[in-house]
Amino acid sequence: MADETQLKGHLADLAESGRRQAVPLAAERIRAHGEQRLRRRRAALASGGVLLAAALVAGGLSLARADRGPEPPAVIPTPTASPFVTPTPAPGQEYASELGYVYGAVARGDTVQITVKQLRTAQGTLVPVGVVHTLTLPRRTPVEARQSAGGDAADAADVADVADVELGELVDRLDGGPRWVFAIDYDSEGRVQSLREAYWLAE
Amino acid sequence: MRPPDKPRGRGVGEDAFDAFYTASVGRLIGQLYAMTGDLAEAQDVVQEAFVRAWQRRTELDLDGAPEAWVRTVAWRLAVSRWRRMRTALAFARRQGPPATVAPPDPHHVLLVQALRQIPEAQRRAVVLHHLCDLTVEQVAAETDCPVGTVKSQLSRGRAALARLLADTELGPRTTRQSEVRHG
Repeated sequence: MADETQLKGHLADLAESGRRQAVPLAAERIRAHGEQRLRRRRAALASGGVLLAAALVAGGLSLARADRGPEPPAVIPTPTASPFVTPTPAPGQEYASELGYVYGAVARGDTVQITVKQLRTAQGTLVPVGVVHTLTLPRRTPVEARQSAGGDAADAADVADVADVELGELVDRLDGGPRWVFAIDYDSEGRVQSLREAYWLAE
Repeated sequence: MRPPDKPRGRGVGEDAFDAFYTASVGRLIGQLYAMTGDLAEAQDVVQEAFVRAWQRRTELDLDGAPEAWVRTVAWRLAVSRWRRMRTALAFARRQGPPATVAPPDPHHVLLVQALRQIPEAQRRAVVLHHLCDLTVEQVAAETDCPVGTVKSQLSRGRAALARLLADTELGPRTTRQSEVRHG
């Protein structure tokens, strides 16, 4: 390339060709997408608030019970016989999502086994569905993480403050009990394509 | 990855946002195309960045540098591993039979191939400086790098591109011959 002027010209040609070929969405569609996400986020934040209240009530009950005497011996929970059915994307949708606690991560070679305790939202609260199942996924499965990756939970509206990591990098964080809620994206063939931490449900 | 500074301002209405989008989306897609070498990816990340700008419209200041903010968000989306993988998968699925489109300009193919071979930071600096007409100081501000680093990235990026394009139709010798031939 002879000089900077020539480079500038080549880049300008390339960018102009991109601009000509691009078929961007109409501005209304862009705004509609943004509005849809804001509505979802507000709804999720609202359910998160109710969830917190429910958790506090449950905690209070638990403390009250502690005064009554010793608890019975702990029983190691066993996974329920799982009626798990892989979610299927709705017509026109690329993915179907399962909401659930992701925990008990164990690395095994190039894979990571996780346990999923399925949840649903009902009247603004997270409710266990009663389905617990395991998934064995590639270590490289992409995960959109925030608090589970050590991120800051303070700014729930900051959509840019999310870490993109691989599942293998989170094994140490997810190897305990249920703590973080994720949306698990399944494609039309039932394969898990990604996990997204539903951090707003925990705030 | 540090998030870009939030857009600061009094917020914008629909008409002002639409005007901003319409005026800048094509230009930004062209710029991101040069940065990423992938037109579909460029369009996708620029649109996503605008969606995020609308989500933050109460903070958006059209008198400030909203285009730089959108470009920064789009760039960060483009370099995100997760985004890259997921977009590739989505893009592959969207592809039906090949569309009837004009073949790409051979010069653009050469340039894209060369751009893809230089490090992302150098590519970004080269595009911001030589395509977006930002000064070195402005590139430094947008990329959150010291001015000296940007100068180094520009120098190395230009040298790498010159080396990669030396024996192609975009190389200086070929271009000069071509100019002579057509002159």
